[in-house]
Amino acid sequence: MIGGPPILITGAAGFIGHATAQRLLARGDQVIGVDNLDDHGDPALKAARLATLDGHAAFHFVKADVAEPEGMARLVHDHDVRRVVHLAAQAGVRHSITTPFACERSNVGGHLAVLEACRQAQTFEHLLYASSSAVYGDRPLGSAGFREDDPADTPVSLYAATKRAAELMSHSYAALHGLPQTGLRFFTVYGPWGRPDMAYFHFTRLTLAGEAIDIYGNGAMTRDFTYIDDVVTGIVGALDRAPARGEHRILNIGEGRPESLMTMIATLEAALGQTTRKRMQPMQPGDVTATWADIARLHRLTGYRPRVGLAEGLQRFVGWYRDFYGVAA
Amino acid sequence: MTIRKTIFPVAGLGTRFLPATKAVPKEMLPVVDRPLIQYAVDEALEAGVETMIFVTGRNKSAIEDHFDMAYELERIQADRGKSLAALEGTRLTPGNAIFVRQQEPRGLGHAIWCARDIVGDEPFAIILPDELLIGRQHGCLAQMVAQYDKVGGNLVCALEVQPEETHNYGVIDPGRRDGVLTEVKGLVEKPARGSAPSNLMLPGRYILQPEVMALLATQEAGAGGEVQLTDAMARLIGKQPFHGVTFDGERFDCGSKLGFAQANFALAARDPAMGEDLKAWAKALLATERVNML
Repeated sequence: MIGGPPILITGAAGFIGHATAQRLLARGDQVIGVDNLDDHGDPALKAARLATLDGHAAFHFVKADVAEPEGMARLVHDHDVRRVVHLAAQAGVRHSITTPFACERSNVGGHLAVLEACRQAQTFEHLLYASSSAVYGDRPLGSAGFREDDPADTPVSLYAATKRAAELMSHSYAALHGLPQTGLRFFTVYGPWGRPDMAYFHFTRLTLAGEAIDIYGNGAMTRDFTYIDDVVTGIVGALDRAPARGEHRILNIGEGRPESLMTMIATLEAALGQTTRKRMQPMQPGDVTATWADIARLHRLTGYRPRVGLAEGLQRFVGWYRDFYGVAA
Repeated sequence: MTIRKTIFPVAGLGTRFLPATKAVPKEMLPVVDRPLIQYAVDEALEAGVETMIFVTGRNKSAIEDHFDMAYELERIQADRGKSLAALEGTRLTPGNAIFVRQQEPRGLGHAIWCARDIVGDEPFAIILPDELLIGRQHGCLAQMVAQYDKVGGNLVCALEVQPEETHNYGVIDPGRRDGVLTEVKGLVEKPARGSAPSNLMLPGRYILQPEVMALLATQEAGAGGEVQLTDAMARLIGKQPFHGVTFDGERFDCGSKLGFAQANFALAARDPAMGEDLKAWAKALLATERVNML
């Protein structure tokens, strides 16, 4: 594999893209990182993530927007890219409500541009792309995890709708062009270098600043929190097992264990060694009540088994946070 | 005849602002850095008024002190070489601040009537300081005086409000309109919803002929057992010219806590020294920080 055709990662300055690039580089892959470095999220954090990759001789960064079809096609063509990990997106429900067209452009238009670029490649092996647990819509927790063939036709946010739309577009590209693909439905990925707009990150900042936190849904929400390292293991495992031509598989990637929001907060407070005032708030528009991944399919394919539980994962996150932002314990 | 005298009825107890108004007259509550009463006096000064007549009550002596010399303060500041610029406009020409007491609260009409001997036989203005009117180019009273010079008679300030709000106010029954001037055929106090003859309310600025004093003297108590200015004005309609002047500017009802808070925010937000900082702070305050849950 060393010295072979490069793996292209879109959204390489993002949370999961950065971690995936690190893992692939560590094992000797050539990586081309693509990111438009837009100012959604935290530009300084994106730059800091990229800075950790820049030293690798096998890493090549290209500032580009996935929603530019010609640029994407040229990248894939010029570098003889055969495997793409497409993680670029306008992530999160909140942005999709406030900037719907930007969300659509990135998540739908961008996905199509990547599909087209891959379809046009001379030799193409595998497109692995990010979907979301949001596609399951607002459903009760129930007694078992959400399975990939459960209905996913009732999105309650535009973000979920764009992610589901991307899955359906991928299905059509597999049927039409035989493009081998894997869609990974991520379940609340967290950890070092994470997204500042995510609840655990936001709560950490506020707690350390001695400010109150707003707890939406009155705390009656449940999430399948998935540690970043486990997610990357799942991504790489799935990437290395390319589907057959014409195959499009969708896989959950979670910890397989739902935790209540209040448990997450208590665990985070324990990791921080301090508590803060909490204000109960109603549900935010677009949020779902619960997520819970059935991870049997990914396990069967790759042997995936999450290693890092919530307490350990949040401990590692807090350690990184204190170090990165210079907040002494 | 020019308008030389303005009456400021300031005898009210200000109970809506208790406890702030327990020891401080409500007219002394500051909007940014000036007490309400000074906005009213500045407005009168801009309109060319010379004599300020304050109809006060007990516990209102702070208003007198405000327009007096602050001897100790001025001396100390001068000795320290500090500027006295902030006090500009607070000391009126000697003899031009007149205080008369309304011994008991018997309504706006009664308060005005208390100033009858000071006003004498000349037209005069009335400013209700609770109503903070910020003119777009010129102050409200200056806008009215400009129209008074054309048509004379009696003028009321008229402010356009949303039709669904008219039931809260005194409203003009309009006749002929000519630019900012509206002939007043009648005045309707708090018309029932849907029955208002116009959307022009009266925000507490008047230029009246002295004859109104004689009418107030014989005025029976009206609504609320008080002598109502509106009733006396209504009796002038048809006998003397009577017009509304549409006000070009913003109104803040500083008789209510909401209006008072709005006035403070609006004026502070356009203050060159702190406006931008305040707006940035307010934006951050109001932006509910929402988070992504998955």
